[in-house]
Amino acid sequence: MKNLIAEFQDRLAGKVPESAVKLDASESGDQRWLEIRARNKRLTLEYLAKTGFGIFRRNAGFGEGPAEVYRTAELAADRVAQLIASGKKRRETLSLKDLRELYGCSQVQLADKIVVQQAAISRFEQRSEVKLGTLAAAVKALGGELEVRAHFRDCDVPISLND
Amino acid sequence: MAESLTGVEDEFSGITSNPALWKSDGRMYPPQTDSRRTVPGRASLQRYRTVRRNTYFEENGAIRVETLEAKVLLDKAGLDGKKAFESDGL
Repeated sequence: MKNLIAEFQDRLAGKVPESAVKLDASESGDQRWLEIRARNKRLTLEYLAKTGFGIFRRNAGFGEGPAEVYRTAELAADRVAQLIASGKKRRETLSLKDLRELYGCSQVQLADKIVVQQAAISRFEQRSEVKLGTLAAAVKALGGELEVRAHFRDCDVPISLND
Repeated sequence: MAESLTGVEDEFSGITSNPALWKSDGRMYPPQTDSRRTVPGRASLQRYRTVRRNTYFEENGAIRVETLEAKVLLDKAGLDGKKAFESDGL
């Protein structure tokens, strides 16, 4: 079986050579915590054999699950490298640029896929407000699906992008 | 201890036990065996790790909860009055 943890460590070492990874494995080996330190930053990942690599919010509460889940060592390591490189203020969500770079897609390639000019992608990535339809198209072009949810005190619901 | 918590939830929560749904079903679950860790030199002590904390369970029923920085949040003695880290002088 491929050792995903070793693959993760190799990939991260290639991206962030000064990173140090400390492992805390359960008896079964099905759950491992990875404590990562680099450039005065500290990140905690959980690896579960069933689901992959989970990254938690900085102030995650007790019992809270990971905010981000990656099923491949490559994506997980690349995301950790992004977070380490992301200045002092760590964002708790990914931008389209983060996502595009994780999937190794240039602005030109993404523009071709959704049939717009590269400049439009560049502007899109710099805007603070974006069209949901364009974002949905970009995510679909990268191989994913955009879901929008509304969280209330007394309900948690998906919001339609089409109606 | 896990059996006690599961029994209480079975009787009072009204929610069927399904640990796979721990994030969303509103029921409390005890630590699961897939996150159990041994403690070197302490066969009777078990450690369960979460994102920010370590929880230790001693065979005498003692419980100790620490942050990863070793700040003690709970240190409850077991039936014999000894705390989780006391029996071997840790």
